Amino acid sequence: MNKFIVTFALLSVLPFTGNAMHITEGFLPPQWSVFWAVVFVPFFILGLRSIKKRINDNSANKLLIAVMGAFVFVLSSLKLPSVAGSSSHLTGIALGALLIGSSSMSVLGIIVLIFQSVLLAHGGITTLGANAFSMAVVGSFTAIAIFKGTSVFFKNKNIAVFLAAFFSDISVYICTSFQLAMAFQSESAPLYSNFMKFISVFAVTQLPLAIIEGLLTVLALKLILSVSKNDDFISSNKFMKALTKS
Amino acid sequence: MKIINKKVMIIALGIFVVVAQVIISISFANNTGTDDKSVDVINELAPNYKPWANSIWEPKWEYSELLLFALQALIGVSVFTYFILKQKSKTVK
Repeated sequence: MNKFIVTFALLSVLPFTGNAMHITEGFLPPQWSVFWAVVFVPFFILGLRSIKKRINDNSANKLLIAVMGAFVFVLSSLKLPSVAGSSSHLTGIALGALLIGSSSMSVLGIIVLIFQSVLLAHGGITTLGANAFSMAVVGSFTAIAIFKGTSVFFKNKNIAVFLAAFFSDISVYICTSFQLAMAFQSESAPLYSNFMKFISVFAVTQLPLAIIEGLLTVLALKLILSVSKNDDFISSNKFMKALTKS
Repeated sequence: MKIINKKVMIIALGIFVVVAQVIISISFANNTGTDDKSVDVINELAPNYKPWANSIWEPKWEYSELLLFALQALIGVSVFTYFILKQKSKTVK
């Protein structure tokens, strides 16, 4: 319970602001909007299948999937000010990627993005494919890759979880920068130059926030594991088993 | 029973703090979002580019946005809290 209080306390001391990080409605040329939507669709289908399989395997996974969605909901509602007078928000993707798999997060990620684009005018329907690909696909696959790559080096798996969440968050913004750089490249604005301009906007803001995301992910994971040690979904999940041993 | 009540109180307080924080901070925020900054870069790279779609609905009332962000946070925290309480009750049994 103390971890729960610490998590809330950490959230509480952070000031919030009302801006976001997604590509704004209409600011991706139509051909690129279609391109990214088409690229995202297979991951979405895989995600639906993965969720269905998890629930069929163990109905207790329903609640875990809901909690992973809830974590994305909470973290993506927290708009944090950062350096240089800009603000952005966290993603919450890494936790779900580690606990229910990266493809499942494609489904949960797009639910949050639709909520924000329809009700809050953050992001957009025309940019949904691009935003979903960067946040729910690149963010979650990066988390898995980083966790796998770093967990062998650390006896304390929390460090690997922190790094997974940190780089997952950063990867979302690298991908967004790349998406925008590609969409607006021209003879006078080459890809690399564009990328550097967009990444300079996102990276400066996002680096401190990625550290916060890493810390919150470790806290949330520790809390979930502390109340779920004897559950089936722990023993059937290789990441969770590894984490409970550390 | 008293222990459960205490936990519920703490969690309710946590929900209140998170939601209140979202509302208060959005009300007084003036930082520029990275989405707005990226739009500035797009305008610099392609000054003739005109956005070809607008948001389906934009909150008109000043506080609609912050209430919806608070709702988003509330939904998330509620589900998370339900999970923790359910798991805790299983452990107690």
